[in-house]
Amino acid sequence: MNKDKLYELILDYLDDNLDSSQLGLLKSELKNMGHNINDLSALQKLVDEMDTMPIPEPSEQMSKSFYAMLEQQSNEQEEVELVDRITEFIRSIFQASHFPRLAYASIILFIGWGIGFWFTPQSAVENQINQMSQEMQSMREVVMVAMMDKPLASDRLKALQMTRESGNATESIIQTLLSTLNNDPDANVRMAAVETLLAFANQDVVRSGLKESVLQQNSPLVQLTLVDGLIAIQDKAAIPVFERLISSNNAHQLVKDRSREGINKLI
Amino acid sequence: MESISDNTIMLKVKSGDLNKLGILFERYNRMLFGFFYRITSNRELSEDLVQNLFIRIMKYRKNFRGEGKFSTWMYTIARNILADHFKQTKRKGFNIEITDAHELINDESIEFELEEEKHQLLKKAMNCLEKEKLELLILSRYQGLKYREIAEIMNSSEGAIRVKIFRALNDLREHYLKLEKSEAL
Repeated sequence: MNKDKLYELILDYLDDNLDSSQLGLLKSELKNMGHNINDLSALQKLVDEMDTMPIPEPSEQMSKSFYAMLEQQSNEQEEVELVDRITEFIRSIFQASHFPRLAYASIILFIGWGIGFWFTPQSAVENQINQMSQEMQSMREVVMVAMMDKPLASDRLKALQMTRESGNATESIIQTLLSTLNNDPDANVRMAAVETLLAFANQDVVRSGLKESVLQQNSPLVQLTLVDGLIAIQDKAAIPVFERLISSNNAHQLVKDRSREGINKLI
Repeated sequence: MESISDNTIMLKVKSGDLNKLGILFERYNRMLFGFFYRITSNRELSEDLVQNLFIRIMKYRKNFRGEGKFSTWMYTIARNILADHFKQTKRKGFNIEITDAHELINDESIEFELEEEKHQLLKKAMNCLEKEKLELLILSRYQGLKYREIAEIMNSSEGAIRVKIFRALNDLREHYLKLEKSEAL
């Protein structure tokens, strides 16, 4: 028997992984070498002792540090992507083939606007501006809802960003945002939905929607975003929700800790 | 419900879904902490090394090809982190670090008063081993890796790894017996 095979048998013996024929083989090999199976008992005892050696649990700080690092990295990545997108957009505008067309279009638009402004009565101009503003608002809603249905999470994130930047949201947009918060499969999108909804936290429907969503979420990161958001808007009605999180068996320890901090800040 | 494989998750992290790394952290943080702790005998340092490991996984995520097992790739990085740590301590080598580990064991034994005497002895004996032998024993006995996987991590053959593990066990036994005798005096 070669050395490799012998060591394999000995290690398997120590792991209690030998069947009767392999054990017989090992015994006869040891006998040929002038030993017996009992000579391995010291090693066996050592291995058994190693298997029972206790080890302390890592502290909670390890988990906290990891999630803080993850959050920072995610934010940095988002910033980099945003800069890339803007750079790409600017580059595409100034591409040689597009630039003259864009310049002509701007001049014609400006001339058209000037003619319209000088030849239209003031009240009519105001009406037109109001009408255009309403049309733009409804168009934005349509675009936003359509983008929220897109399969790519990046498109849905863009739609949420647009809504946040627009500064106002109709009832139907709020409903779409709440539905995204509760049903979107991507945790990043759900977190972005929280941020967008927080921009409209002056509305009752938004505040109650945020609170209802906390216990429905299965991602600790989304729950943390929601808890932080509810603390930021000083929503005292969130205290019972935080208490339920603390007593929940399913909530992540970090979420529970943050909820405790939240209660201390809100009471 | 079948859980998603480590490789699938890591490939998602690679493609930019960084938050998925949280799943791998939850799966492996205790095991990695155990790996580092058994070598350094220092809880705080082991936690830092786990953190460094995940930072490195994040940094080098583009290098993960998904061909081998994620855990094999992870332990290769873990070994590199240990090697870097021992280089950075600017000491003469692992054995001097071990001297510190002895002190730490003595400190921590106060914290874990109920720990049995023979476990203390075994810990000391393990810390007398050469770094590679200690790593081999930890990877094979505590991290549950197969000899084939250890061979891949250590860039060696399965047969050579078996021989080395057997020798490491023998060395450990000798150190253990010596310490037992010296403590009995």
